[in-house]
Amino acid sequence: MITEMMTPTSQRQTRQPSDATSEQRRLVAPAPARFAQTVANLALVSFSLLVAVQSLRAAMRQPHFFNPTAVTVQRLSAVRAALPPDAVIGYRTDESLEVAAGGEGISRYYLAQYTLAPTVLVTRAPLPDVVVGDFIDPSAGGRVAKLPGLIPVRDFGLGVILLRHAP
Amino acid sequence: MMHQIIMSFLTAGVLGWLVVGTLLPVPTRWHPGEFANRSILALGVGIGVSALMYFIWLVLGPHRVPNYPWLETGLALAGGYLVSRTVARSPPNATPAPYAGPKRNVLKLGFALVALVAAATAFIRAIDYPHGFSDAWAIWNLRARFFFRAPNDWRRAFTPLLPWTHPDYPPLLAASVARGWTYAAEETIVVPMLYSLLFAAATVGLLVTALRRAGHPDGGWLAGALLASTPAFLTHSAAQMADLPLGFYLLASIILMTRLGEGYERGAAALLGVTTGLAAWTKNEGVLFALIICAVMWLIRLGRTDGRSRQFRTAAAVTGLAVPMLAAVLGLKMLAPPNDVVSIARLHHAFNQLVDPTRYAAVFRAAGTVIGHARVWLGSVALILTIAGIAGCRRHAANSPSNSWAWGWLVIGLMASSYFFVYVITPYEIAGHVDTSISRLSLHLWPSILYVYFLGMRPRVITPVVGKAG
Repeated sequence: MITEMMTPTSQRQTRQPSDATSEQRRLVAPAPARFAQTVANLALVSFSLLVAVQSLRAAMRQPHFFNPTAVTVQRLSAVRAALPPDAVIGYRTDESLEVAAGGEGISRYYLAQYTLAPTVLVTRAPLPDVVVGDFIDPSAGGRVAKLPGLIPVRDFGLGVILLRHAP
Repeated sequence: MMHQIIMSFLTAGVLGWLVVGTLLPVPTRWHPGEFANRSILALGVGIGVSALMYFIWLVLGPHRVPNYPWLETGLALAGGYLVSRTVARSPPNATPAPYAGPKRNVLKLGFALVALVAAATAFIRAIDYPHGFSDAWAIWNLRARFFFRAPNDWRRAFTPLLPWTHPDYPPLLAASVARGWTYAAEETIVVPMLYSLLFAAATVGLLVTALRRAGHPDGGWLAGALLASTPAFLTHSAAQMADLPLGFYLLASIILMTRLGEGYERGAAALLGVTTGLAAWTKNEGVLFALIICAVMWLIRLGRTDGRSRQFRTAAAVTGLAVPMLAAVLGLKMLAPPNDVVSIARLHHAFNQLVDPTRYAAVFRAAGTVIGHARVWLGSVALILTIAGIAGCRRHAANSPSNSWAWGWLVIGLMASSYFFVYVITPYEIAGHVDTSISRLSLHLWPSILYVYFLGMRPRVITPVVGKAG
């Protein structure tokens, strides 16, 4: 069977075009099969069109997607300019970074990394000397100042603060 | 900026034509669908090859990256000249026999309408997700930013400090996007957006033209309409993730594999090696695919009686695979930490999971739940395809001289089985893993499933348009 399967078509099928045409005529399917085939073909195209139109309507109905990347870029662009590109820095936020916690905090972290690349942001202790604070509360400066071992270096607003470990 | 981005796609296309035109002989007369099929294949191959070249350039001379477009454009111009000379040369022994079945303008019109609606949907989705889905900015586009923003420190893209970026993932897509930005000399969202849309459109185009070329234009329009309207496919066309590119390379490889019996032999086998290698360079699942293709090629080799041809074919496929595979293995696997799901370190644990029957039940349960959400769509598609299959099977059984499509089913079956076993040994919670990945994994295989299904239903196999046998 394997041999038969892979014998080159060029070896097995040496019909001339005229032979092929006559064979085609001979092999025309009976009317019921042709009818079923036509119905199935038309049903498939109609079904595809219906599903595609449904997808289009769903896409049009969907409220304009909240683009978190644009918001993050806006918030973090100032701190990005202040960071050395080849640095590895720490990342702190006031949301849980556990996936099980709902993913908001982790998404925030991933977006921050996406925005600040090629600077690498790490979240696990021991954090590097320089740490970026990325907080939901835009006025988090005072609260962050109370974080143990961290000193605010510069508040960029919108909840973004550059921190440094206390000596 | 836009003309530079267009230039990046044009050079990729020309380079792809150079590879495809070199490996596949040029026919005397282009069969309907043949030129379009080769062009789409060339574009996909060109994107992959140029991404590979960009990555090698990045590794060898990161400070010279801004000059890369000049190098590639020069190569493309020289390649374009060679391709035009090759295309103009007619081989002596072509025997064209174009499909002479009834023309189904209704199907063509139906496909055109579906394609139009699908394009509008994909465009709206792309505008809604300018940076792609979450995996796009957490993995693929992030890596592209590492390449583009810090070419001198490109290894950072694979840093083990960011394990959630999956540093072991191959960088074809990221390198493509960074290459586009290098052409544009700026980091614009248009590049990843275009890649995403382009791979979706190219997959549909490749499917339609491959079936048309194989003598089943009706099947081409139907399969194309079905693929273009698949909800998950439409959604992912704007995702900017590597799943659709992988689906493209899998489809291209399976198409080439089913064409091996047409007399191209070495050339087609080498091109199969290239597309398989590019699949391996797109996603880790592509590495699995490459292993499966090698195994199936070995099986095919066993079935051949003409010793010289079989040796050449296997050798050529391996050669084609070698370049991108080598880059993938050496460039990444030595840099990156081991994969989180499949790694040697987890071997013992994975074996214990494999012999645990409850895990199999859990995978079935989880897959059943996800599939249940799409039951109306899946049920309708299955019903219509079954009717079409039953109606078409008499003709097929009577006059299909080639069963090479059966190898396609074997590859698809092995891939699907492998995905199943990956779920069984996953270190993550099974239901969650299945829920978040099964639709993407299905998209890897769905275009190939449609191709092989409709190929098996083609009314007759035409004598191929063959040039000088490779």
